[in-house]
Amino acid sequence: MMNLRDTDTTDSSKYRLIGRSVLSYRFIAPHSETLYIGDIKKVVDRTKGSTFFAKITDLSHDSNFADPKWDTRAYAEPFYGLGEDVFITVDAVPLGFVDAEGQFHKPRTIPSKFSTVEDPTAEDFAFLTAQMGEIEVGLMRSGQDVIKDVAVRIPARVLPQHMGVFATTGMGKSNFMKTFCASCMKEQKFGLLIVDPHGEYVSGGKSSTGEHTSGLVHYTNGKSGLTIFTIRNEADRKKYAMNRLWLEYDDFRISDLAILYDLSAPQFDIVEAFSRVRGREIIEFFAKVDPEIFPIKDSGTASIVRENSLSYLIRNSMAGPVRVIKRHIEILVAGNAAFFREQGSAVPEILQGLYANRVVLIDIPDMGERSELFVLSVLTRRIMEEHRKEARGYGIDDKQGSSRQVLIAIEEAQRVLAAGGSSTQIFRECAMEGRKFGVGLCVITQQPKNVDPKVLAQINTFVVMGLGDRGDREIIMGSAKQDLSKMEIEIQTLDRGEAIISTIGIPFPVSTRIHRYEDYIAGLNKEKKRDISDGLESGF
Amino acid sequence: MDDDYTDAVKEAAGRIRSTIPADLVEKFAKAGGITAADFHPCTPAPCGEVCAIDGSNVTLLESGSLALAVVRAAQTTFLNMERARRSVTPMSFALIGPEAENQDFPVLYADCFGHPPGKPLDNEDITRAAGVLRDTVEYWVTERMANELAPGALLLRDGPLRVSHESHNPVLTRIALACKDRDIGLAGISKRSTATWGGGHPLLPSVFGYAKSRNITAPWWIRVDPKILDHTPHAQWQHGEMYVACLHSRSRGPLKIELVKDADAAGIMNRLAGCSADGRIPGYPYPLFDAHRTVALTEEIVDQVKGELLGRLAEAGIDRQTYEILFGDYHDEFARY
Repeated sequence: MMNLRDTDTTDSSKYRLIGRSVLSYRFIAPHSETLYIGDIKKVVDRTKGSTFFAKITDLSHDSNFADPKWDTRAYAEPFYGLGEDVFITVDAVPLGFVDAEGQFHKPRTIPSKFSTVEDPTAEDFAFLTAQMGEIEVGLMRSGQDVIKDVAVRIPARVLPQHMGVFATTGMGKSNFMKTFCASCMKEQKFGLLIVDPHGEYVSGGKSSTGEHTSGLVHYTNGKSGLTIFTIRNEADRKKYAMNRLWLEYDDFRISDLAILYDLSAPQFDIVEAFSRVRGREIIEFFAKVDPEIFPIKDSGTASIVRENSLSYLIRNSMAGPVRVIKRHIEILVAGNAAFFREQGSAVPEILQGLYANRVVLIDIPDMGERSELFVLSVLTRRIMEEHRKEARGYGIDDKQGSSRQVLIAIEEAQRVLAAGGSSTQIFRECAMEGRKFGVGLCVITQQPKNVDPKVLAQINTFVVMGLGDRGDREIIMGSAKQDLSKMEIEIQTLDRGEAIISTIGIPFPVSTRIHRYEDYIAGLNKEKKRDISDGLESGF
Repeated sequence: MDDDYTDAVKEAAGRIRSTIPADLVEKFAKAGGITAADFHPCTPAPCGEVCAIDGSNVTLLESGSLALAVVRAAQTTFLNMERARRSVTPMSFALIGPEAENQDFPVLYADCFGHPPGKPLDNEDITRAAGVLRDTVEYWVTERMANELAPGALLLRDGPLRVSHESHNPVLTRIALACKDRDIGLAGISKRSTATWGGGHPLLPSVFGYAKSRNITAPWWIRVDPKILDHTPHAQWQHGEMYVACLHSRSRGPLKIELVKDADAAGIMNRLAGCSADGRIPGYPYPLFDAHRTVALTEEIVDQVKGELLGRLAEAGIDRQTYEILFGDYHDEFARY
């Protein structure tokens, strides 16, 4: 007897792994499915008992129709039954896999053909939570959503190996930095130095989108992790328990001028000649010297210039370069009079704050870019000197590493870390050698392509926020220690407050929704304060 | 270029042109007495329940003395353009030859309808024989659906309401009766038609051309008076009245539609227009397209069946060489060069 069999209506073609290689997964999804670049999927290989994780890197329309141009030949609307043969082809990059024993591995093997593709839950990322560090900055993101129980925490131990924060204006860079500071204040694992010429970090202000923002002082539970040095008035200082910022003349080195001004070769010769001279002597010398006596050739003048005096060191210089240097120094002294004085420096206290693993904020509102760079230059040099001195003190058998870890934040870092800038030597030295001494740079820039690639190559932690410029994205993808090349579309489509964090401490680049600073500190402020007696033995 | 060849091409084109002359439309209007008023506009209506039936046949193997055909049929039922059910018959194999009378046809027919066919099937024309075998399972599915669909449904057949073998005539009669009794609309829809008028002018381009010349915008339908048509053999096997319809403004061309006598032509045409808007094939009822895709014996399926068959033949003691002698096609070999 003839019979009529109903065909199977279940669609088993979707959400099955059909990828062909270890580094490239592929599956298809219903054409009406809402998927996002950056979505994390788990590929469950029941044959091998492993769970693979993959991140969606591309989505494209595809069909089973023989005519590849069927969609450009459409003659009308609507389309019936489209879902059976028209679908979304999903390309994903593997992140790694968890074996049957729960151990995470790099993606060195391939899941079985047709393994099912599913949505992961927070429990699936338990392995990742265990590998995260201490400095919490946000929640793990999967496409448009966050995985609520998976906090992204950068390991503190890798931060002195430099960190880069890359974002164009308005992508949430300031919010990230404040959130990062709050976590550092909470954890106190290393010292963090920030120089703020805009006065935003202390008490907040307005974001680039015009919203009111809070400052570091509003994280009241974390105040033990914050030390502020400021030029604000006494009333403000008292209100927020801030210290007065002072730098003294001896904190200055003439090489600081090279960072602040474009010097000509003859001017640079003068800087080099005075490179070992104390700041106060230089300032006093240029305050008194008459540039017109240079070059010192006639015997009358020469006779009154003592050998080894400062005039003698630059005796062959022309009057013009000396005049320019004199003017630069006068401007430096006068322009920074709010915190730069003959004697009395806050640098020892600043270093003390850093070595107590606090966030040290140098707050110099309305002081401008030159003042910011001047302070940064002075402090970076002092920190490097301290750490070098400490390193020199180690014996042959001593552990070659500083117990004191400091991270120095440099905003708009391309100003001082551009390629070929010998004038910004101290920052370059810090970038190239700092990690040996426990000094890291937090390079913040919206133009990574303008930062020296050699510097970028030293960075081990990349915080990549929205970057509109292809050149910027390419330089970042080429410099990161983990492969970001397949995440270009995701980087291109990152929204405000979203980031991809790639660091050697976390097994794969993690898409992150950065905490909104105000919400984050509100939560931290509700937490029970750490008791001062925590960790002490009780009783006698 | 060879003059003989050029002349031959020219003559072939000229002979086709003679059936479709430049004044085809005017000739048709005059001969058929057709006016613009004979064209009825369609108002696409909700389709409700629509069931489409289609069949498929493939000659798997062919030797000088016999052929092996595989046939199957399928139905697909839509409820307001959402597919509710889809089913297919198993693939049936039938040998065509070496005898003059087909030995599998009575078996297949009895399998479908419970009794032997009224007339045997001749094996002489392999293509026709395979088509009749396919029609057998296709009519079986159609009859079954005519008895299963809810009243008010529309039952579409891919092809005319006219049998090509006498044994199917009582089946189609029963189908038409069942549809009438159960208030089911029955339509036979053909993409092409053999119908001609005036001694060989094709009907479909004539009607379409007339509508175009009079700026009649689709969707429309027109009833065709059988008196204007040239003689059709076996007219007694015809179960429907002929209509021509263009069901969508973007349609590639008109369809020949056959409805049983006294059918609600306007209602059925409106529903057909309502299910003929798919962007890939506007003007063709989507359920029929779906039935075709369900039943089609694709190259993939044929390859798989051929492979399995080859294995069974080997088990039965027919070696590769004998197989090649029997069914091998030198054209396959030629195609490699």
